[in-house]
Amino acid sequence: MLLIRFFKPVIAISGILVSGWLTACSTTQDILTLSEVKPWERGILARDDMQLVNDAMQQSVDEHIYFSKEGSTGGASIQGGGCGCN
Amino acid sequence: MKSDDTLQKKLGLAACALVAASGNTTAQVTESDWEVDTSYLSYAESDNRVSVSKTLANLVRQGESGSIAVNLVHDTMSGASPTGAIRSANSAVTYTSVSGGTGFSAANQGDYSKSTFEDTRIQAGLTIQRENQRGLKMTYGGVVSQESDYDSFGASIGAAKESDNKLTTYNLGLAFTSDTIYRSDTGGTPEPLADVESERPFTEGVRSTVDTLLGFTRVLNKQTLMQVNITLGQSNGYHSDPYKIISAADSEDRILANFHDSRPDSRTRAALYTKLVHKLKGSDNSIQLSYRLYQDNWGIFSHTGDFRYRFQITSKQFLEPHVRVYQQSEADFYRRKLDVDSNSSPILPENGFASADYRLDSLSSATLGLNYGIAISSGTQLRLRAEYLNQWFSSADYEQLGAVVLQASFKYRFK
Repeated sequence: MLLIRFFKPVIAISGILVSGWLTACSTTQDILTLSEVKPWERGILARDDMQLVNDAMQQSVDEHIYFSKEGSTGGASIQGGGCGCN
Repeated sequence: MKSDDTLQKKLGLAACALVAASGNTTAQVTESDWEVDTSYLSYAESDNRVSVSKTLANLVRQGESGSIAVNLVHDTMSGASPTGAIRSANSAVTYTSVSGGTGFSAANQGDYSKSTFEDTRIQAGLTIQRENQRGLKMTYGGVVSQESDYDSFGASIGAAKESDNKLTTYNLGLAFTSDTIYRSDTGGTPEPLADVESERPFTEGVRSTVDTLLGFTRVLNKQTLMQVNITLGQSNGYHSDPYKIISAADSEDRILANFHDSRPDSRTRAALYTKLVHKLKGSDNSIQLSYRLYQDNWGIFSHTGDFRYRFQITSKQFLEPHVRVYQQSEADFYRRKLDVDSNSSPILPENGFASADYRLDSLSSATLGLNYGIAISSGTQLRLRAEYLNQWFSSADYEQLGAVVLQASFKYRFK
Protein backbone atom coordinates (compact mmCIF):
# COMPACT_ATOMS: atom_id res chain seq x y z
CA MET A 1 0.00 0.00 0.00
CA LEU A 2 2.88 2.30 0.83
CA LEU A 3 4.39 1.65 -2.57
CA ILE A 4 1.13 2.29 -4.36
CA ARG A 5 0.65 5.50 -2.39
CA PHE A 6 4.11 6.66 -3.39
CA PHE A 7 4.14 5.59 -6.98
CA LYS A 8 0.78 7.04 -7.95
CA PRO A 9 1.96 10.63 -7.62
CA VAL A 10 5.44 9.86 -9.03
CA ILE A 11 3.98 8.18 -12.11
CA ALA A 12 1.40 10.93 -12.48
CA ILE A 13 3.99 13.70 -12.18
CA SER A 14 6.42 11.93 -14.52
CA GLY A 15 3.63 11.34 -17.01
CA ILE A 16 2.54 14.95 -16.92
CA LEU A 17 6.11 16.23 -17.30
CA VAL A 18 6.97 13.87 -20.15
CA SER A 19 3.72 14.32 -22.03
CA GLY A 20 3.78 18.06 -21.38
CA TRP A 21 7.27 18.48 -22.74
CA LEU A 22 6.65 16.18 -25.66
CA THR A 23 3.44 17.82 -26.74
CA ALA A 24 4.42 21.41 -26.02
CA CYS A 25 7.85 21.41 -27.60
CA SER A 26 7.81 18.49 -29.95
CA THR A 27 5.54 15.60 -30.87
CA THR A 28 5.82 11.86 -30.79
CA GLN A 29 5.64 12.03 -34.57
CA ASP A 30 8.81 14.18 -34.61
CA ILE A 31 10.61 11.51 -32.67
CA LEU A 32 9.42 8.46 -34.53
CA THR A 33 9.55 9.81 -38.09
CA LEU A 34 12.19 7.90 -40.03
CA SER A 35 14.14 9.96 -42.52
CA GLU A 36 17.34 9.67 -44.52
CA VAL A 37 20.03 11.70 -42.76
CA LYS A 38 23.10 12.54 -44.81
CA PRO A 39 26.48 12.86 -43.08
CA TRP A 40 26.43 16.66 -43.50
CA GLU A 41 23.00 16.79 -41.84
CA ARG A 42 24.25 15.42 -38.52
CA GLY A 43 25.16 18.68 -36.84
CA ILE A 44 22.53 18.24 -34.12
CA LEU A 45 23.37 14.58 -33.56
CA ALA A 46 27.03 15.50 -33.04
CA ARG A 47 26.27 17.75 -30.08
CA ASP A 48 27.51 16.63 -26.65
CA ASP A 49 24.01 16.42 -25.20
CA MET A 50 22.86 14.18 -28.08
CA GLN A 51 25.36 11.42 -27.30
CA LEU A 52 24.00 8.17 -25.86
CA VAL A 53 26.54 8.54 -23.05
CA ASN A 54 27.08 12.26 -22.61
CA ASP A 55 28.76 11.98 -19.20
CA ALA A 56 30.71 8.74 -18.82
CA MET A 57 31.84 9.69 -15.31
CA GLN A 58 28.28 10.16 -14.12
CA GLN A 59 27.03 7.00 -15.80
CA SER A 60 29.73 4.81 -14.22
CA VAL A 61 29.00 6.25 -10.77
CA ASP A 62 25.25 5.76 -11.16
CA GLU A 63 25.65 2.19 -12.38
CA HIS A 64 27.80 1.45 -9.34
CA ILE A 65 25.30 2.98 -6.90
CA TYR A 66 22.32 1.11 -8.33
CA PHE A 67 24.30 -2.13 -8.66
CA SER A 68 25.02 -1.79 -4.92
CA LYS A 69 21.46 -1.00 -3.87
CA GLU A 70 19.23 -2.99 -6.23
CA GLY A 71 18.98 -6.55 -7.50
CA SER A 72 19.34 -5.81 -11.23
CA THR A 73 22.33 -5.01 -13.44
CA GLY A 74 23.14 -4.73 -17.13
CA GLY A 75 21.31 -3.32 -20.09
CA ALA A 76 23.23 -0.15 -20.91
CA SER A 77 26.68 -1.71 -20.66
CA ILE A 78 28.43 -4.87 -19.48
CA GLN A 79 31.76 -3.65 -18.13
CA GLY A 80 32.35 -2.70 -14.52
CA GLY A 81 34.37 -3.35 -11.41
CA GLY A 82 32.86 -5.71 -8.84
CA CYS A 83 32.53 -4.80 -5.19
CA GLY A 84 31.43 -6.21 -1.86
CA CYS A 85 29.10 -3.28 -1.48
CA ASN A 86 26.98 -2.85 1.64
CA MET B 1 18.77 43.67 -57.84
CA LYS B 2 17.36 43.24 -54.41
CA SER B 3 16.91 39.53 -54.92
CA ASP B 4 20.50 39.21 -56.23
CA ASP B 5 21.76 41.05 -53.17
CA THR B 6 19.87 38.71 -50.88
CA LEU B 7 21.19 35.66 -52.72
CA GLN B 8 24.73 37.07 -52.58
CA LYS B 9 24.36 37.66 -48.83
CA LYS B 10 23.04 34.14 -48.33
CA LEU B 11 25.91 32.65 -50.33
CA GLY B 12 28.34 34.74 -48.35
CA LEU B 13 26.85 33.57 -45.08
CA ALA B 14 26.91 29.96 -46.27
CA ALA B 15 30.58 30.31 -47.25
CA CYS B 16 31.35 31.82 -43.84
CA ALA B 17 29.48 28.98 -42.14
CA LEU B 18 31.45 26.40 -44.13
CA VAL B 19 34.76 28.08 -43.26
CA ALA B 20 33.70 28.27 -39.62
CA ALA B 21 32.60 24.64 -39.64
CA SER B 22 35.81 23.41 -41.21
CA GLY B 23 37.76 25.57 -38.77
CA ASN B 24 35.94 23.92 -35.88
CA THR B 25 36.64 20.46 -37.22
CA THR B 26 40.34 21.20 -37.54
CA ALA B 27 40.36 22.69 -34.07
CA GLN B 28 38.69 19.59 -32.63
CA VAL B 29 41.29 17.28 -34.12
CA THR B 30 44.19 19.28 -32.79
CA GLU B 31 42.64 20.25 -29.47
CA SER B 32 41.26 16.90 -28.39
CA ASP B 33 44.54 15.01 -27.99
CA TRP B 34 44.45 14.78 -24.20
CA GLU B 35 41.50 15.22 -21.92
CA VAL B 36 41.24 14.75 -18.16
CA ASP B 37 37.95 14.45 -16.30
CA THR B 38 38.07 14.47 -12.51
CA SER B 39 35.23 14.12 -10.07
CA TYR B 40 34.45 14.02 -6.37
CA LEU B 41 31.27 12.38 -5.10
CA SER B 42 29.70 12.20 -1.69
CA TYR B 43 27.05 9.53 -1.05
CA ALA B 44 25.32 9.67 2.32
CA GLU B 45 22.44 7.50 3.51
CA SER B 46 19.90 8.56 6.10
CA ASP B 47 20.10 7.34 9.73
CA ASN B 48 23.92 7.24 9.56
CA ARG B 49 23.92 4.16 7.39
CA VAL B 50 26.44 3.90 4.55
CA SER B 51 28.46 6.96 3.53
CA VAL B 52 30.94 6.93 0.67
CA SER B 53 33.49 9.47 -0.52
CA LYS B 54 34.46 8.75 -4.08
CA THR B 55 37.25 10.33 -6.13
CA LEU B 56 37.46 9.59 -9.85
CA ALA B 57 39.82 10.51 -12.66
CA ASN B 58 39.58 9.69 -16.37
CA LEU B 59 42.48 10.46 -18.67
CA VAL B 60 41.75 10.10 -22.38
CA ARG B 61 44.04 10.46 -25.36
CA GLN B 62 42.26 10.79 -28.68
CA GLY B 63 44.16 9.89 -31.82
CA GLU B 64 43.21 9.75 -35.50
CA SER B 65 42.42 6.04 -35.51
CA GLY B 66 41.35 5.50 -31.93
CA SER B 67 41.72 6.42 -28.29
CA ILE B 68 43.19 5.21 -25.02
CA ALA B 69 41.60 5.92 -21.64
CA VAL B 70 42.80 5.32 -18.10
CA ASN B 71 40.22 5.35 -15.33
CA LEU B 72 41.01 5.53 -11.59
CA VAL B 73 38.56 5.33 -8.67
CA HIS B 74 39.17 5.62 -4.94
CA ASP B 75 36.34 4.98 -2.46
CA THR B 76 36.28 5.32 1.31
CA MET B 77 33.20 3.76 2.89
CA SER B 78 31.94 3.75 6.45
CA GLY B 79 28.74 3.51 8.45
CA ALA B 80 26.38 0.81 9.57
CA SER B 81 24.78 -1.66 7.21
CA PRO B 82 21.81 -3.99 7.82
CA THR B 83 23.05 -7.52 8.59
CA GLY B 84 19.78 -9.22 7.71
CA ALA B 85 19.01 -10.11 11.34
CA ILE B 86 15.56 -9.00 12.37
CA ARG B 87 15.28 -5.76 14.24
CA SER B 88 14.72 -7.03 17.72
CA ALA B 89 16.36 -6.41 21.07
CA ASN B 90 14.78 -9.65 22.27
CA SER B 91 17.44 -12.19 21.38
CA ALA B 92 18.32 -15.52 22.94
CA VAL B 93 21.67 -15.54 21.14
CA THR B 94 24.53 -13.12 20.68
CA TYR B 95 26.36 -12.20 17.55
CA THR B 96 29.61 -10.34 17.69
CA SER B 97 31.27 -10.12 14.31
CA VAL B 98 30.08 -8.79 11.01
CA SER B 99 30.84 -6.67 7.97
CA GLY B 100 34.04 -4.97 6.76
CA GLY B 101 35.01 -5.34 10.23
CA THR B 102 34.44 -3.12 13.17
CA GLY B 103 31.37 -5.01 14.52
CA PHE B 104 28.68 -3.53 16.71
CA SER B 105 28.68 -0.34 18.68
CA ALA B 106 28.11 -0.41 22.43
CA ALA B 107 24.80 1.29 21.85
CA ASN B 108 23.24 -1.58 19.93
CA GLN B 109 21.85 -3.09 23.15
CA GLY B 110 21.37 -6.55 21.73
CA ASP B 111 20.06 -5.37 18.35
CA TYR B 112 22.16 -7.12 15.70
CA SER B 113 20.25 -5.79 12.72
CA LYS B 114 23.00 -3.31 11.82
CA SER B 115 26.77 -3.54 12.00
CA THR B 116 29.37 -0.82 11.63
CA PHE B 117 32.13 -1.04 9.03
CA GLU B 118 34.97 0.88 7.41
CA ASP B 119 36.56 0.05 4.09
CA THR B 120 38.54 1.45 1.17
CA ARG B 121 38.25 0.44 -2.45
CA ILE B 122 40.55 1.25 -5.35
CA GLN B 123 39.81 0.59 -8.99
CA ALA B 124 41.91 1.05 -12.13
CA GLY B 125 40.71 0.55 -15.68
CA LEU B 126 42.14 0.80 -19.17
CA THR B 127 40.11 1.12 -22.38
CA ILE B 128 41.58 1.11 -25.87
CA GLN B 129 39.54 1.89 -28.98
CA ARG B 130 40.75 1.27 -32.52
CA GLU B 131 38.93 1.96 -35.75
CA ASN B 132 40.09 0.29 -38.94
CA GLN B 133 39.69 1.56 -42.50
CA ARG B 134 36.54 -0.50 -43.06
CA GLY B 135 34.76 1.36 -40.26
CA LEU B 136 34.95 -1.44 -37.70
CA LYS B 137 35.51 0.03 -34.25
CA MET B 138 37.02 -2.36 -31.70
CA THR B 139 37.09 -1.65 -27.96
CA TYR B 140 39.33 -3.53 -25.51
CA GLY B 141 38.98 -3.00 -21.76
CA GLY B 142 40.44 -4.21 -18.52
CA VAL B 143 39.59 -3.31 -14.93
CA VAL B 144 40.89 -4.31 -11.49
CA SER B 145 39.26 -3.47 -8.18
CA GLN B 146 40.37 -4.23 -4.65
CA GLU B 147 39.03 -3.70 -1.14
CA SER B 148 39.70 -5.34 2.21
CA ASP B 149 37.36 -8.25 1.50
CA TYR B 150 36.80 -8.29 -2.26
CA ASP B 151 39.08 -8.53 -5.32
CA SER B 152 37.75 -8.18 -8.83
CA PHE B 153 39.33 -8.48 -12.26
CA GLY B 154 37.52 -7.85 -15.53
CA ALA B 155 38.31 -7.90 -19.24
CA SER B 156 36.06 -6.99 -22.13
CA ILE B 157 36.01 -6.74 -25.89
CA GLY B 158 33.49 -4.90 -28.05
CA ALA B 159 32.89 -4.37 -31.75
CA ALA B 160 30.82 -1.68 -33.46
CA LYS B 161 30.08 -1.56 -37.19
CA GLU B 162 28.09 1.00 -39.14
CA SER B 163 25.70 0.04 -41.91
CA ASP B 164 26.47 1.21 -45.46
CA ASN B 165 24.11 4.18 -45.17
CA LYS B 166 25.68 5.01 -41.76
CA LEU B 167 22.28 5.24 -40.10
CA THR B 168 22.57 2.05 -38.06
CA THR B 169 25.46 0.90 -35.87
CA TYR B 170 25.54 -2.72 -34.73
CA ASN B 171 27.20 -3.47 -31.39
CA LEU B 172 28.57 -6.69 -29.94
CA GLY B 173 30.26 -7.06 -26.57
CA LEU B 174 31.75 -9.77 -24.40
CA ALA B 175 33.01 -9.31 -20.84
CA PHE B 176 34.59 -11.67 -18.34
CA THR B 177 34.80 -10.91 -14.61
CA SER B 178 36.51 -12.89 -11.87
CA ASP B 179 35.68 -12.01 -8.25
CA THR B 180 37.29 -13.27 -5.06
CA ILE B 181 35.23 -12.76 -1.91
CA TYR B 182 36.29 -13.20 1.73
CA ARG B 183 35.69 -11.74 5.15
CA SER B 184 38.26 -9.20 6.22
CA ASP B 185 38.46 -10.73 9.72
CA THR B 186 38.88 -14.44 8.85
CA GLY B 187 40.14 -14.29 5.27
CA GLY B 188 37.56 -16.93 4.32
CA THR B 189 33.82 -17.32 3.94
CA PRO B 190 31.38 -18.86 6.40
CA GLU B 191 29.58 -22.11 5.59
CA PRO B 192 26.30 -21.12 3.92
CA LEU B 193 23.24 -21.57 6.15
CA ALA B 194 25.42 -22.66 9.09
CA ASP B 195 24.46 -21.53 12.58
CA VAL B 196 26.49 -18.44 13.34
CA GLU B 197 27.44 -19.82 16.76
CA SER B 198 28.86 -23.08 15.41
CA GLU B 199 30.17 -22.06 12.03
CA ARG B 200 32.86 -23.82 10.05
CA PRO B 201 34.98 -21.37 8.09
CA PHE B 202 35.43 -22.14 4.40
CA THR B 203 38.12 -20.85 2.09
CA GLU B 204 37.60 -17.65 0.12
CA GLY B 205 34.76 -17.62 -2.40
CA VAL B 206 35.39 -17.33 -6.14
CA ARG B 207 32.88 -16.28 -8.77
CA SER B 208 33.23 -16.08 -12.57
CA THR B 209 30.88 -14.04 -14.72
CA VAL B 210 30.45 -13.86 -18.49
CA ASP B 211 28.35 -11.02 -19.90
CA THR B 212 27.35 -10.53 -23.52
CA LEU B 213 25.80 -7.56 -25.26
CA LEU B 214 23.98 -7.48 -28.58
CA GLY B 215 22.53 -4.20 -29.75
CA PHE B 216 22.16 -1.46 -32.30
CA THR B 217 21.82 2.29 -32.48
CA ARG B 218 19.70 3.92 -35.17
CA VAL B 219 19.55 7.50 -36.42
CA LEU B 220 15.79 8.00 -36.77
CA ASN B 221 15.96 11.55 -38.12
CA LYS B 222 18.11 14.68 -37.89
CA GLN B 223 17.31 15.15 -34.23
CA THR B 224 16.61 11.67 -32.85
CA LEU B 225 18.83 8.72 -32.00
CA MET B 226 17.62 5.37 -30.65
CA GLN B 227 19.49 2.54 -28.95
CA VAL B 228 18.36 -1.03 -28.27
CA ASN B 229 20.50 -3.53 -26.31
CA ILE B 230 20.03 -7.06 -25.09
CA THR B 231 22.47 -8.18 -22.40
CA LEU B 232 22.82 -11.71 -21.12
CA GLY B 233 24.95 -12.71 -18.14
CA GLN B 234 25.89 -15.98 -16.52
CA SER B 235 27.80 -16.20 -13.24
CA ASN B 236 29.01 -19.31 -11.45
CA GLY B 237 30.58 -19.76 -8.03
CA TYR B 238 30.15 -18.08 -4.67
CA HIS B 239 27.13 -15.72 -4.67
CA SER B 240 26.34 -15.51 -0.95
CA ASP B 241 27.23 -12.46 1.14
CA PRO B 242 29.76 -13.56 3.80
CA TYR B 243 28.56 -10.82 6.20
CA LYS B 244 24.81 -11.20 5.89
CA ILE B 245 22.82 -13.37 8.28
CA ILE B 246 19.21 -14.45 8.61
CA SER B 247 17.42 -14.87 11.93
CA ALA B 248 15.25 -17.78 13.01
CA ALA B 249 12.60 -16.27 15.25
CA ASP B 250 9.29 -17.14 16.80
CA SER B 251 5.99 -15.41 16.09
CA GLU B 252 6.90 -12.65 18.53
CA ASP B 253 10.19 -12.01 16.73
CA ARG B 254 12.29 -13.43 19.53
CA ILE B 255 15.53 -14.49 17.85
CA LEU B 256 16.43 -18.11 18.61
CA ALA B 257 19.34 -18.48 16.21
CA ASN B 258 21.11 -16.71 13.35
CA PHE B 259 22.28 -18.41 10.17
CA HIS B 260 24.69 -17.35 7.47
CA ASP B 261 23.41 -16.10 4.12
CA SER B 262 23.04 -18.86 1.51
CA ARG B 263 22.37 -18.28 -2.20
CA PRO B 264 22.49 -20.50 -5.31
CA ASP B 265 25.91 -20.97 -6.90
CA SER B 266 24.84 -19.72 -10.32
CA ARG B 267 22.80 -16.87 -11.69
CA THR B 268 21.53 -16.13 -15.21
CA ARG B 269 20.49 -12.58 -16.05
CA ALA B 270 18.84 -11.01 -19.09
CA ALA B 271 18.03 -7.37 -19.77
CA LEU B 272 16.36 -5.51 -22.61
CA TYR B 273 17.39 -1.87 -22.69
CA THR B 274 16.18 0.90 -24.94
CA LYS B 275 17.10 4.57 -25.03
CA LEU B 276 15.96 7.57 -27.01
CA VAL B 277 17.82 10.87 -27.38
CA HIS B 278 15.87 13.69 -29.00
CA LYS B 279 16.37 17.41 -29.56
CA LEU B 280 13.12 19.23 -29.11
CA LYS B 281 11.71 21.23 -31.97
CA GLY B 282 12.03 25.00 -31.77
CA SER B 283 14.56 25.05 -28.95
CA ASP B 284 18.07 23.95 -28.03
CA ASN B 285 16.72 21.65 -25.33
CA SER B 286 16.90 17.88 -25.53
CA ILE B 287 15.58 14.82 -23.72
CA GLN B 288 16.96 11.39 -22.88
CA LEU B 289 14.51 8.63 -22.14
CA SER B 290 15.40 5.04 -21.31
CA TYR B 291 13.66 1.88 -20.16
CA ARG B 292 15.09 -1.43 -18.97
CA LEU B 293 13.30 -4.74 -18.53
CA TYR B 294 15.28 -7.21 -16.43
CA GLN B 295 14.80 -10.81 -15.36
CA ASP B 296 17.02 -13.41 -13.73
CA ASN B 297 16.63 -17.03 -12.63
CA TRP B 298 16.60 -16.02 -8.96
CA GLY B 299 13.08 -14.70 -9.49
CA ILE B 300 13.92 -11.01 -9.73
CA PHE B 301 11.93 -9.21 -12.39
CA SER B 302 12.36 -5.46 -12.68
CA HIS B 303 11.43 -2.32 -14.59
CA THR B 304 13.64 0.77 -14.73
CA GLY B 305 12.62 4.09 -16.28
CA ASP B 306 14.93 7.07 -16.59
CA PHE B 307 14.20 10.55 -17.91
CA ARG B 308 16.49 13.57 -18.33
CA TYR B 309 15.57 16.95 -19.71
CA ARG B 310 18.51 19.09 -20.83
CA PHE B 311 17.54 22.73 -20.58
CA GLN B 312 20.13 24.81 -22.42
CA ILE B 313 20.19 28.06 -20.42
CA THR B 314 22.75 29.67 -22.71
CA SER B 315 25.16 28.22 -25.26
CA LYS B 316 27.57 27.55 -22.39
CA GLN B 317 25.31 26.54 -19.52
CA PHE B 318 22.73 23.81 -19.03
CA LEU B 319 20.41 22.61 -16.32
CA GLU B 320 19.26 18.98 -16.38
CA PRO B 321 16.47 17.65 -14.15
CA HIS B 322 16.51 13.87 -13.77
CA VAL B 323 13.86 11.36 -12.71
CA ARG B 324 14.47 7.63 -12.30
CA VAL B 325 12.00 5.02 -11.11
CA TYR B 326 12.70 1.35 -10.41
CA GLN B 327 10.64 -1.57 -9.20
CA GLN B 328 11.68 -5.19 -8.60
CA SER B 329 10.08 -8.40 -7.35
CA GLU B 330 11.74 -10.38 -4.58
CA ALA B 331 14.17 -13.25 -5.10
CA ASP B 332 12.66 -16.73 -4.67
CA PHE B 333 14.78 -17.43 -1.58
CA TYR B 334 14.38 -14.02 0.08
CA ARG B 335 12.88 -14.22 3.57
CA ARG B 336 12.67 -11.69 6.33
CA LYS B 337 13.33 -14.48 8.84
CA LEU B 338 13.19 -18.26 9.23
CA ASP B 339 10.24 -19.64 11.16
CA VAL B 340 10.56 -22.05 14.07
CA ASP B 341 8.49 -25.15 14.84
CA SER B 342 6.53 -25.93 18.00
CA ASN B 343 9.77 -27.09 19.67
CA SER B 344 11.40 -23.74 18.86
CA SER B 345 13.69 -25.43 16.33
CA PRO B 346 14.44 -23.41 13.19
CA ILE B 347 12.76 -24.63 9.99
CA LEU B 348 15.51 -24.54 7.38
CA PRO B 349 14.64 -24.27 3.67
CA GLU B 350 14.63 -27.60 1.82
CA ASN B 351 16.75 -26.34 -1.06
CA GLY B 352 19.29 -24.83 1.34
CA PHE B 353 18.90 -21.24 0.14
CA ALA B 354 17.83 -18.31 2.31
CA SER B 355 18.80 -14.65 2.39
CA ALA B 356 17.47 -11.65 4.28
CA ASP B 357 19.53 -9.19 2.22
CA TYR B 358 17.24 -6.17 1.76
CA ARG B 359 18.40 -5.80 -1.87
CA LEU B 360 16.71 -9.11 -2.73
CA ASP B 361 13.38 -8.01 -1.24
CA SER B 362 10.54 -6.68 -3.37
CA LEU B 363 11.46 -3.00 -3.57
CA SER B 364 10.89 0.28 -5.35
CA SER B 365 13.31 3.15 -5.84
CA ALA B 366 12.84 6.71 -7.00
CA THR B 367 15.55 9.24 -7.78
CA LEU B 368 15.13 12.97 -8.30
CA GLY B 369 18.14 14.97 -9.39
CA LEU B 370 19.41 18.20 -10.87
CA ASN B 371 22.59 18.57 -12.89
CA TYR B 372 24.20 21.90 -13.81
CA GLY B 373 27.01 22.36 -16.29
CA ILE B 374 29.01 25.33 -17.48
CA ALA B 375 31.72 25.62 -20.11
CA ILE B 376 34.21 27.92 -18.40
CA SER B 377 36.37 28.21 -21.49
CA SER B 378 37.03 26.21 -24.62
CA GLY B 379 37.79 22.65 -23.44
CA THR B 380 37.06 23.35 -19.77
CA GLN B 381 33.78 22.30 -18.20
CA LEU B 382 32.41 22.21 -14.67
CA ARG B 383 29.42 20.03 -13.69
CA LEU B 384 27.61 20.00 -10.35
CA ARG B 385 24.77 17.69 -9.46
CA ALA B 386 22.61 16.76 -6.52
CA GLU B 387 20.35 13.71 -6.39
CA TYR B 388 18.05 12.18 -3.82
CA LEU B 389 17.39 8.44 -3.87
CA ASN B 390 14.63 6.83 -1.84
CA GLN B 391 13.87 3.12 -1.57
CA TRP B 392 10.82 1.34 -0.20
CA PHE B 393 11.03 -2.30 0.83
CA SER B 394 8.08 -4.67 1.11
CA SER B 395 9.10 -6.81 4.07
CA ALA B 396 12.67 -5.89 5.12
CA ASP B 397 12.85 -4.56 8.67
CA TYR B 398 14.29 -1.25 7.53
CA GLU B 399 11.30 -0.22 5.44
CA GLN B 400 12.89 2.78 3.76
CA LEU B 401 16.29 4.04 2.74
CA GLY B 402 17.11 7.60 1.72
CA ALA B 403 20.41 8.74 0.21
CA VAL B 404 21.82 12.05 -0.99
CA VAL B 405 24.35 12.11 -3.81
CA LEU B 406 26.44 15.23 -4.42
CA GLN B 407 28.96 15.29 -7.25
CA ALA B 408 31.34 17.89 -8.67
CA SER B 409 33.21 17.15 -11.90
CA PHE B 410 35.79 19.14 -13.80
CA LYS B 411 36.87 18.39 -17.35
CA TYR B 412 39.93 19.91 -18.98
CA ARG B 413 41.17 19.42 -22.53
CA PHE B 414 44.88 20.03 -23.03
CA LYS B 415 45.69 22.19 -26.03
